Amino acid sequence: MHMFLVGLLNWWYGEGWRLQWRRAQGYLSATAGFFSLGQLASTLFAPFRQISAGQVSGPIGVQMRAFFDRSFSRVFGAVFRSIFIVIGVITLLIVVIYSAIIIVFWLVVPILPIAGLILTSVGWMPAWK
Amino acid sequence: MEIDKLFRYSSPRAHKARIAVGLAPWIVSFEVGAVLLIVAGLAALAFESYLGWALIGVAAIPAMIVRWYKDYLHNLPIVENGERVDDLLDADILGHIPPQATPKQLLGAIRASHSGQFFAARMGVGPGFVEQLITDSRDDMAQVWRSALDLRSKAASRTLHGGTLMAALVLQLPQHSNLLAHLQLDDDDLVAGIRWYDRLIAVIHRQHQIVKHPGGIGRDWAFGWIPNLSHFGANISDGAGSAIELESHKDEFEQLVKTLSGDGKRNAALIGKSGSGKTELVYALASRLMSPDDDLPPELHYQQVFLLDAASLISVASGRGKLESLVDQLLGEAYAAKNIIVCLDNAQLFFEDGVGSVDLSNILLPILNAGRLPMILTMDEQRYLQIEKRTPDLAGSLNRIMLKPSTADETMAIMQDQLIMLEYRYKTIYMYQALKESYSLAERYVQDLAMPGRALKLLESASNYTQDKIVGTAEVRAAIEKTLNVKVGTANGADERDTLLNLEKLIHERMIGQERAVDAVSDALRRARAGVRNQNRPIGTFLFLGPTGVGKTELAKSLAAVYFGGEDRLIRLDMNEFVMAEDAGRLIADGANDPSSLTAQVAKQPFSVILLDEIEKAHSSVLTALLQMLDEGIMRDVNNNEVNFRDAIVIATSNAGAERISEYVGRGYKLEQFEEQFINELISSHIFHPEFLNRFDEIVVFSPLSKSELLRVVDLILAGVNKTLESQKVAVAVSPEAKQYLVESGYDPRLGARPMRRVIQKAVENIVAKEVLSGNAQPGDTVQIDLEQVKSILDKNRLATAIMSGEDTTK
Repeated sequence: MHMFLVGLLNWWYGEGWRLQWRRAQGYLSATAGFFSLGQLASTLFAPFRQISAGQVSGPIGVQMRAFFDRSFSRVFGAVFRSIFIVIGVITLLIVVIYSAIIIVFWLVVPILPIAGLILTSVGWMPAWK
Repeated sequence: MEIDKLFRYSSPRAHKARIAVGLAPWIVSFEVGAVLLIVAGLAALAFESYLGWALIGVAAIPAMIVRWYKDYLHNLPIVENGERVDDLLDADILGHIPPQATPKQLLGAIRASHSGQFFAARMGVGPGFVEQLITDSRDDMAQVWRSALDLRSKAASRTLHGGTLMAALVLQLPQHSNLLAHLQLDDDDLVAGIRWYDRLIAVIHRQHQIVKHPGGIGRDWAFGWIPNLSHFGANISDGAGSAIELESHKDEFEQLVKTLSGDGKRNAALIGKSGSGKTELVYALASRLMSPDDDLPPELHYQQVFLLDAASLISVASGRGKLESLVDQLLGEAYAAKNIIVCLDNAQLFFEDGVGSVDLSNILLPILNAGRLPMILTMDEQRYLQIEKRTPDLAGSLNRIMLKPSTADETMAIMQDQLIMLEYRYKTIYMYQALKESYSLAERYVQDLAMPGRALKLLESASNYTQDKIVGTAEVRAAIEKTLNVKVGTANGADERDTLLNLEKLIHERMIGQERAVDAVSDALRRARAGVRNQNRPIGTFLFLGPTGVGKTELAKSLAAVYFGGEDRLIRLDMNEFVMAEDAGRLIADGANDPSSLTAQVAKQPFSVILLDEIEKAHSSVLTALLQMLDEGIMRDVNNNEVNFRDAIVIATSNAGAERISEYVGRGYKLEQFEEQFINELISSHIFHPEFLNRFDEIVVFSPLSKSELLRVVDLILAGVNKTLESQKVAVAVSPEAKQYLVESGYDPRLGARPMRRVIQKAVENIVAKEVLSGNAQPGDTVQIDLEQVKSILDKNRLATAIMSGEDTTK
């Protein structure tokens, strides 16, 4: 029993806690990957889906028209990507907060049984209403 | 104690392994318990009971145990740089090992483990295999642990698992080589089995690390729409859900990546024989691009590989113009999208006109030359050489990457990887022995594909021959025997064993005399089917020397009929048709142009009797071309494909020196007395070179048939006549005197038994024909032929022949 408890607590405050950190990093990286944040930022002003992206030769009027089309495609792409970047960043913040709670809570779990017994014995009850 | 240096029962890791084993059955209960305690605690708090805090607090204990088990104990890591068994052994076995363990108790621990079960199923080396043989003495454990650690380092394994321990236990047995031989294994195979399990675990680990949405939702927003390409091409990056680990062609892969990411012409032509793994390399690239790492150039990250198939494009665009316009549109779309690599699979179909192919060089060449659109072309080696000859510009435009067939070790690893899918598809389990057998039999018999494709093809077809859904060596052999009609391995069936043991008797049912020759070929065949012959030569090579009509050709025919399954198993070449030096080319001609060439016939039917009739008449260049076949059992055809002669019996016949044989026999010599002298005479008269004669396993001299033997030949021919008449329910019986007269009439020392059939035809068959037509012979009757009848017919014929030839008939 002694070895059991020592082994469990040793792991909980050692490798177990480090594992929670690695998991939190994994969640963050997966969230950033899912929203392609790096890719969206690096191609922020690229023409959206290469629409009107090609070079056009011809009279100045045609070239001007192509320039405005391309610019519109770029602006549209930038707005579209920005929206997703914002959504991604908000999600990322939520994940950060969730991970932080887990990491801190992890540290107090082993003392919960004692805390529970103390609260039961002192008879503390939060004011619900 | 020495054993403590190898294994420590009381080490922290061993202790944790035992905790893991003890906890395993209770984990679900702990999980449920924790949830129930929390729910109960919250409910209690809701009803303002202070007990709720205690319940919630206590719930933390099972919850912590569950986490400890799932995140740590369940996959207890090894001790890095550990050297003892307890540092490295899989926890599911370590936790079951009792204090003061014995080999027998260790076997019990292995039995329950996944790795032990894997070894039992794949190698046939399970606890049942050694249970009765291993000891129950603790003193033997040190040797087992030492052997296990040694096997781990040989297999370059990270851990020690049930397979390693099982192999270590087997290696302790004094007669382990014999035991393993029963399973068609040796010591090296045990190490290979350990590696196989390690690979499987590595594949499972890789699969867990696969990213479900590579690149994320915005990955392709900076790249163009590809509606047509999506419709007409196959996006193999979409299916790149599994990480393909290349076991061969790693250098070629690096070369491919470098070519596609370089500044020059961004095209690569993967050239190799069918089955060499060209398409697999493209799939591996697609998979790697979707899970890019730092080794991969950033410009290739998340590039998608689209496969364009000539046949499906031709089917939707009838006519060259439409097809050109479609391909132009697809390639334009791919270029504009900026994240597409186009792969033309079987690209030769895009560069030649024919059935299912259209020459699109006009539009493809400028694109390949410009090199701005990354492209991969896979091509068959021979077809590439033809196209290169026809369109030299194309060769100049392509960056060639030649794919060699995979090696034996690479092929084994590839087969192990592919088994996961094969077993799922065919609901079978493949044993290690089946993989080994597939490689060696495919290497020998499957010529139309390169490795690893040829071994995989055989492995796949073996699944059709299982009785109990387990594929072993027998199933692989059955697959090759049924598909190619050859016999591999050793004789197993009772019928075949009977045939082999009575081969001489069966051959003599068809031919008379020549016991020595019959014994020689029978012995060769028995050696082959007992597995004691040299596997790298034909089953047997014989030179039959002797006058005409003594049974040389008949022996070859009899052998084909009795053992090889019919006279159609005889591949006969009349060597008097190969008298010019250039005729050597006809021996190895392409089967498509000349199906009668020796190589084409043998490639189609490797298990046969090859009869090279009248070999002395062939040109010396032709004989030289045959030397390798006689020596090593292989010949290369005009396309440089290796043709296997190792399942054939090669018989060459010659009449050379027939007069000398008759002379020796006439002088009263027996065969054994003049045989050596006679062969020396053949060499000195330059009819055959010694190096040619030396290639034969045996040179057999056939003696002329005696009259008593000819009498038995008459019986044999008459038996044939009776067999023909069987359908009319009529039989024929010839008196002994008449038979004797037939022999006298049919005997010609120059022609041997050859005139005998003609004489019987004239005398016997004609009499029977008349009897049947006149109605004298009714069904159930036996036509009796006596000396007078035979004489009257044969003498009449002889008189007529004499008159025709102007001989004196009064004699």
